[in-house]
Amino acid sequence: MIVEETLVHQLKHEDSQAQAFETLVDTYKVRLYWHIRKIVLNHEDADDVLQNTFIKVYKNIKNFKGESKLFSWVYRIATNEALTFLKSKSKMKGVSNEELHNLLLENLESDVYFEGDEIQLKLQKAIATLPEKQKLVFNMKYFDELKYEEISDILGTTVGGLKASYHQAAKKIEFFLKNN
Amino acid sequence: MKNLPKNSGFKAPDSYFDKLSEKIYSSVVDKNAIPKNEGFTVPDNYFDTVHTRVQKRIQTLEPKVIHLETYRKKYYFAAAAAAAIILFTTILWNNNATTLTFQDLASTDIENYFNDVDLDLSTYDLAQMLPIDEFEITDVIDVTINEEQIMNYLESNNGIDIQELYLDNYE
Repeated sequence: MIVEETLVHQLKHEDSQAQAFETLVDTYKVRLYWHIRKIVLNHEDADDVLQNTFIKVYKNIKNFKGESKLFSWVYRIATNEALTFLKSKSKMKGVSNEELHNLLLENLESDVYFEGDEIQLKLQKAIATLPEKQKLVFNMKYFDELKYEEISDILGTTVGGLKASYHQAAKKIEFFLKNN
Repeated sequence: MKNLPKNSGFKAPDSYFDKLSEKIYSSVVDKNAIPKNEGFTVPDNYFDTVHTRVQKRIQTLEPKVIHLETYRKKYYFAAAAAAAIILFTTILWNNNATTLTFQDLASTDIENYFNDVDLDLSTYDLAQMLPIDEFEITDVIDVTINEEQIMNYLESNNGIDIQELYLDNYE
């Protein structure tokens, strides 16, 4: 696996950029896709957001100063892109973020790219009840199994704050599953 | 057998059965019971095509970016040129304009100035400044009074003999 610093260096130089970009996409496409998919829920939207994320990375790599890990930086871009996408989608449909999420959940049941059973669908409904930040933290910690330090780097929140968010999210999900 | 008690003698804790279903459910729906897989799937070979599709979009985007930047620069130049012309014209216009004098001021402007600005001047100060000699009675009063009216007034109200006034003047 290519060292991150080398990859960044290659991405910033025109002669090596194309090859380095291919490496970057291949390295992060799967992880980023699933991260985005859990936020936007359907495949088509996730695909759009994933492509936009990589385009943003390509355009802004020259501004990457290396203050955080490349992985965290790319993840942050993907998170922001996904959240912005949802906001513009809800604006376009003239509904609130919560209403849009419920709408997406309704569509999930008939989505050809969702093969979840009853408990998986219920879990998505439970996650949908969480505030945006808790939703992100829960997904990143529970499904992506990221370390708190990594999540902290991506979301810019303290580890203590993240632990509290995750704890609250888990409690709410547990409560939802018991009562629904 | 009939004499044997129906009650077995066993006892259960208070409210045991009330909380039983909840207890069983929570043991089923523990963290391990929540699936780690969200149930989402992707089309076949989806990930193999990601790079190619992103690359295509970047290639189509790039000329557009240059295009927009060029226009933006043109707009900056146009805006700068327009601003320079407006500034130049304004300065030129101001230089050509005749110098304003006191006569150019509308009397209402002067009145408004005195009304609005507290000059802190006493009537004595005003009397000192105002050129009394240049004033005519008609500057203050609109009504014109002729000589005959003045004579009549003096005679009828003050008991002054007009002839005496003439005599005084000649002495």
